[in-house]
Amino acid sequence: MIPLLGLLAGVMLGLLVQPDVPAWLAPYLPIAVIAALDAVFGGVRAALEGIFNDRVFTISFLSNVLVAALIVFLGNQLGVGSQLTTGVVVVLGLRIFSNVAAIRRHLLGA
Amino acid sequence: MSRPLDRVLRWRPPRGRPDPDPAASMALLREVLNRPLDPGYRSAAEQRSAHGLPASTGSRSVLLLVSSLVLGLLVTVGAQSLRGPDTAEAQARSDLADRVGEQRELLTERSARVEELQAEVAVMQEQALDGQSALAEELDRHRRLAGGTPMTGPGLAVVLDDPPRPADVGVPGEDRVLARDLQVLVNGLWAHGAEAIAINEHRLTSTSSIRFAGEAIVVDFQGLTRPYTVTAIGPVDELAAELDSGSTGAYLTELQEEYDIIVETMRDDEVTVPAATRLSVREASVADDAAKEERR
Repeated sequence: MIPLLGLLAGVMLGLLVQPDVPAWLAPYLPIAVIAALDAVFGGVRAALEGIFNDRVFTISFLSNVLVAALIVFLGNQLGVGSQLTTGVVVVLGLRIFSNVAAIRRHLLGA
Repeated sequence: MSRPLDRVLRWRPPRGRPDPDPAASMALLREVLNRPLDPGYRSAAEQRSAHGLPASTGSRSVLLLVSSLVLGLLVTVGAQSLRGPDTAEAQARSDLADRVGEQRELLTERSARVEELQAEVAVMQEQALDGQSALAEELDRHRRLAGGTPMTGPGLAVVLDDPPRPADVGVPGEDRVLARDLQVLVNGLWAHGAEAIAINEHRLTSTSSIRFAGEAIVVDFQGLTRPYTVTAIGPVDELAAELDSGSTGAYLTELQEEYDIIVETMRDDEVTVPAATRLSVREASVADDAAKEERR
């Protein structure tokens, strides 16, 4: 319940404030969103397996976003930003898919 | 705080189990597919169980509230800022397209009005000059020289067109008709006795310009689309000779050979060149008394 409320509050805040994202931050946003989604699905799966831990969730969320941004930053500096972005998206996407599959097994038993 | 992180950092895959897959290169993929859950959860749960606490911390914590708030904010901002510019650009583009369409309509409207007014002026001039054939003749001669009347006569037409290219080639480069090419052609025709020249039914006068604006060739501030047809009235033999073996001809041959530009020349016994639409009085002076007397 509490995370849902927090999520809703965050969405409302984003919609109301409509902050301007500085241009230098723009390339990291999509990858940060995907990394955050990965952390979320990991957390949901852990909750369903009965081993959820708020600290682990927060740390994995923050470190996922930071590492993803770091990889993209490094890629941009090396001139292979788009390739590295693709790599990060593929890995995180795979993780998201298998986490979702695990969640589905827990919820639907299929 | 430090303990779970410590455990995360020191986590190793469980030993003792031999790798069942001989294809070691698949290890990474398997790792990604089979162990997607952050191992920290498992170790943290084991630690809590060891201390006699329930394995899950539950969802009632300020930390979780804050991180889910940040998460919601991040996703919303990401979605908005990544979606925003595109729609704004599309909006601007359609606005621009609308404005171009409006201005084009206005242009055709006004051009029609110009023709109407020119016809009116011609009628009035005729009335004013009624019975003064010498003056009428002079006016006629001047107007013909200035390009104010449509003309018909023997002449030729030159068609210039860009080389055919596959549709997937994006920005056209040098191998296309440039304003310079049309300038050279038109100047060559003028120099060899052409009396009236039009490009794509657009009459050239002594004040006409042929320019390049971005990707388009602009004649008298009006953009033209390819193919470009240059029609000229004048001494056909001389003009054809110039286009065949003169310096203009050499230039056109080079265009054909170097840039694959399509050049076609056709002779015609009867070529029609329309009147110029952008004629206006730039200089005028009050006629002196002698001229007034003469007119009476």
